[in-house]
Amino acid sequence: MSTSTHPLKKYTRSHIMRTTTCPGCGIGTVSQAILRAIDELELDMDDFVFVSGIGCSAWIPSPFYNADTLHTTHGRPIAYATGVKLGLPDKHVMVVSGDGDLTAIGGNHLIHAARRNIDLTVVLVNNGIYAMTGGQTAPTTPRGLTTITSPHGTLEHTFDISPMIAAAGASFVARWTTYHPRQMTRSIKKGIQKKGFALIEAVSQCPVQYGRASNLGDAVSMLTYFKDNSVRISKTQKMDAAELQSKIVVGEFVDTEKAELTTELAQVKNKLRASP
Amino acid sequence: MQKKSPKAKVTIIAESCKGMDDCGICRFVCPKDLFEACKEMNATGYYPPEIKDESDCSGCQNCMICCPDFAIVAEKKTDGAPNSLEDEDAEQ
Ligand SMILES: Cc1ncc(C[n+]2csc(CCOP(=O)(O)OP(=O)(O)O)c2C)c(N)n1
Ligand code: SF4
Ligand code: SF4
Ligand code: SF4
Ligand SMILES: [Mg+2]
Repeated sequence: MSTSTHPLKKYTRSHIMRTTTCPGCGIGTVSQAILRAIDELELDMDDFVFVSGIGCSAWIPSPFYNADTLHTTHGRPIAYATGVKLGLPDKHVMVVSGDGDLTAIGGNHLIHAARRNIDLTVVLVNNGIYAMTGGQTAPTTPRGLTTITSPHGTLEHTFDISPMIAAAGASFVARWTTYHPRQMTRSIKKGIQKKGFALIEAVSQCPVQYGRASNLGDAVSMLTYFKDNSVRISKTQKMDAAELQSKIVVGEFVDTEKAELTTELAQVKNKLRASP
Repeated sequence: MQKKSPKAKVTIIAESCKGMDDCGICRFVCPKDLFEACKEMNATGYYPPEIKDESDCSGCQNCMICCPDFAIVAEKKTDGAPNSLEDEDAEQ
């Protein structure tokens, strides 16, 4: 029996003994990266509201984290989170959900929250597939990949999420893989501290659905793939489109200061209240 | 040869582990290759790892940070043990 307790255990509900994920799933590594960011920033879980949608990734905060967690309908966590943030602007509102949830059924919420630059931190777990429902093609599935809904390989092109959300106007955008957990924690810390919309795209292994569809295999093979195919943004200038095709570009895409929605709204309210 | 002293105390919380067969991330990220499957099954039917020779541990904490099931605790015994796992942008 173990004598030590995990240093992040204090942030989780004591009656939840295990994570909900399959062996080797990267979701748990992302979950740790989030809690480590909160721990290193010395923030109080009571000052957070975690909002998630539907999918394996959406199980990260709920029911595991010992905080206010809102497990919403598929695709809508950002809509709920927007309401929470406008009602409780002093809370840190963090959305944690999957690529299908946030870029397919919930894609417009994501784009428009970035455009509005509302102060949310979104940790988007991108495993390239609808994992929980059995491995269907998602907007993030690489073109040509055979899945149960694309038996001849998907003919569609793939969303490149981080640049898309950068273009939509977010204040902070970063992408890392589960092979980069320390970098991921650092970017989550910056995202939490950023007054504005922050996206951290966490590329994560789903050995069960994606691993099978891609023949990449188990967790370690997928992590090896992330290790071998990740390229820092700074190194991409010298690379052409063909070279970049199969690469995962990692790093911080945007880190800027700009007008934020809840702050602007408070100013307008104060002005209207002051006027006779 | 004189035994080195380990740079971290590494504890495996066997009951949380989902097994070296399908996971094994700890073995993959340990720069000293200290993890091997133990023979004893845990309560949920998985074979967790055990540490071969703790004295070699570099204290990098990769195993704890990467384990998806919060099943490893690596308490640093000395400050300044090197981190690894491609942390080249640490100064960012
Ligand atoms: C309105 C609605 N449509 C479809 C579903 C079925 N469904 C549940 S999870 C999911 C996909 C989840 O994919 P993703 O967000 O990538 O999460 P993952 O499981 O990959 O982490 C779908 C289509 C649903 N629950 N509700
Ligand atoms: S199906 Fe994939 S994403 Fe879902 S818990 Fe299992 S390994 Fe993780
Ligand atoms: S990384 Fe964690 S869950 Fe995976 S085999 Fe090692 S101890 Fe078990
Ligand atoms: S702390 Fe580093 S060297 Fe020590 S067991 Fe863990 S991964 Fe291996
Ligand atoms: Mg997914």
